[in-house]
Amino acid sequence: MYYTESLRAWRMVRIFLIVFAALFVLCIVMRIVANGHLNETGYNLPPGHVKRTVLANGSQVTTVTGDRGEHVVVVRNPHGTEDITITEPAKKPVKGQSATMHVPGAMIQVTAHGRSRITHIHHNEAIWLSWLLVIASCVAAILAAMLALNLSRENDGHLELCWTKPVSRAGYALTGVAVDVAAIFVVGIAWMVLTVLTLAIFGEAHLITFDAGAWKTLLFSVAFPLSLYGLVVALTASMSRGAVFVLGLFWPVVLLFPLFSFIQKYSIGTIARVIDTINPAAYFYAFVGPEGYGSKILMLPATETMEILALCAIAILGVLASLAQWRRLEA
Amino acid sequence: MTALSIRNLSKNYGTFAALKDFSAEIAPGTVFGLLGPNGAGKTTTFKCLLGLSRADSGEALFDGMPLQPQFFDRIAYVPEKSVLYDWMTIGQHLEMQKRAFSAFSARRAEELLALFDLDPRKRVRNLSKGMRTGAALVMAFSANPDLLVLDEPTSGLDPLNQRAVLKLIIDAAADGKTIIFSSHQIGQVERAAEHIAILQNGKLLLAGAVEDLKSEYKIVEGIFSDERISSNGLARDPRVTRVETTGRVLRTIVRDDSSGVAAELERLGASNVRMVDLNLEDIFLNAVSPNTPAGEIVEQA
Repeated sequence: MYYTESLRAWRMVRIFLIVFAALFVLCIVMRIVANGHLNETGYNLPPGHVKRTVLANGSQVTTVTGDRGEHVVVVRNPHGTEDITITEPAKKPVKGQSATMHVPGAMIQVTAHGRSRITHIHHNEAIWLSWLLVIASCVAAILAAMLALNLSRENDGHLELCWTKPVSRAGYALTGVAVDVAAIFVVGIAWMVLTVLTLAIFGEAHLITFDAGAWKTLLFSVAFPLSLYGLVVALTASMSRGAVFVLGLFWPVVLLFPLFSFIQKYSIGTIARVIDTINPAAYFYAFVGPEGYGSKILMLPATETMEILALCAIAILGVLASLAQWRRLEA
Repeated sequence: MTALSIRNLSKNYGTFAALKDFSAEIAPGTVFGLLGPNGAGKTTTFKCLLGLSRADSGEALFDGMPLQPQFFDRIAYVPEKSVLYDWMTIGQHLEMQKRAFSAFSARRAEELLALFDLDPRKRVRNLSKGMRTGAALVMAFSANPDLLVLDEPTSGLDPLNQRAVLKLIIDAAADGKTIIFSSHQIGQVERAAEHIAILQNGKLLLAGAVEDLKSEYKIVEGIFSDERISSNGLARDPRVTRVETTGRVLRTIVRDDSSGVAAELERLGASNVRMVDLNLEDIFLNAVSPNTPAGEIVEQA
């Protein structure tokens, strides 16, 4: 009974894995191009004279004076932060230019003036595991919404094949749901593994920190894609081809609807908050948004536990609603 | 072996009555043919029978019991329209069957694939209509079911494969399987089916053993010298259920006393009067021809 859905899910998972692999290869290429500019642990520092010293505060300083005029200073502080300063000759003389970029765990500042370019990388904080989990849950959510069309796909001319198997209708549907949930987990975990590997090749893996909220975020990142799955499967279980149209509208509606909560006229905000009770995206914004943001867009008390429980409820009720529709369908 | 008892099945789609109070008893190990023009209610009967559509009233009993999901382990259904997955290969469909049906035979599947000249590596989207029907039949017969429900199983098949399907049906019945099938090819039904039911507008018109139905009626026909044939009261003769004229030939379908009707034709001036056994097509046409109650003259082009 699970065979068809496992083939269908694998076709989608395979596309996701191909994209992940392409992104990973891109990261490897970037790492090679970066050529040791990020971190001494990359051991791709330019050839030249290397000098290592330990400062009085315990900081380890590695200085490399390259054969082609590059100068790299890596300061690894005892509390785990790092500062890397790379001074290298510019290919063409430039007037004063400066750019700063903030990425999780690091601030990168590039300054160019005259015939020299200075890159300063400050690893100023840890990479919280919670960030990685939230990103993984977003990736898994995309797949979840796609897989949730499974019952509508069966309803598109295949019911005679599904319902003449020695299993009840509910049993058939639930087996498909179980396969889809497994596929969602596979994609979420694959994304996490590749994220860690990518950080490792950039020498950043050690910055990943199991932060205080990681357990709750882990539960949230499991519940979020499943709630989207539950909502889509409930909306489309009794549809056939029209389900793809519904999915097309689903994302913009779900993602933008919480904005109505801020409209005060004609009770629009109140109505939006009521409707957002079944909108997983509203809980997502509440969970990842700044403190107090959740109470502006949700009717329910905006605590992390409540948000996770609400998402679980949407997932379960959504699947139950889809089963009720599935059982009433006729071929 | 599965005995099937259909009792007073009715199904309405809105105000349209697709099936009206249909009943039939199908003994185990027999071939039952369901005949009827398009929209007669054949597919609706199959769907209600297998629980794919909810009947508004009536029931279908399998060996005396209402349909249970586990019964499908011994039932195979081939719908009229292809329900296979376009993106899957024939081999994957067979793998699906193998995992679902306990009596599935991979060897049988291979034999049937060869019979229909199907490549298991081919995706369904690349198959012709006939090949899709063939693939569906391979799936059904290789599951080795006790009851086969086949809705237009020869649809889209070439004459060779149609003959092969007919042989499969007859062989399966010889093995003790129960088969219920519909077809527009009345000759095929006549060859394979022992019992038939004729439906029209959802209503059962006629049912019974094919041989009994054939022996019940005779055709008496004669040739007249003039195309302006006068039935001279034949149409109102209670022995005659139908009168047709084609050119100078007058043809009657007679229930009793065919010799008497033959004498009557001779008396009216017909020559070459002869009595012919009815075939299933005649029985079918006699049952379903619209607006031609027994005794009316039908002009055929």
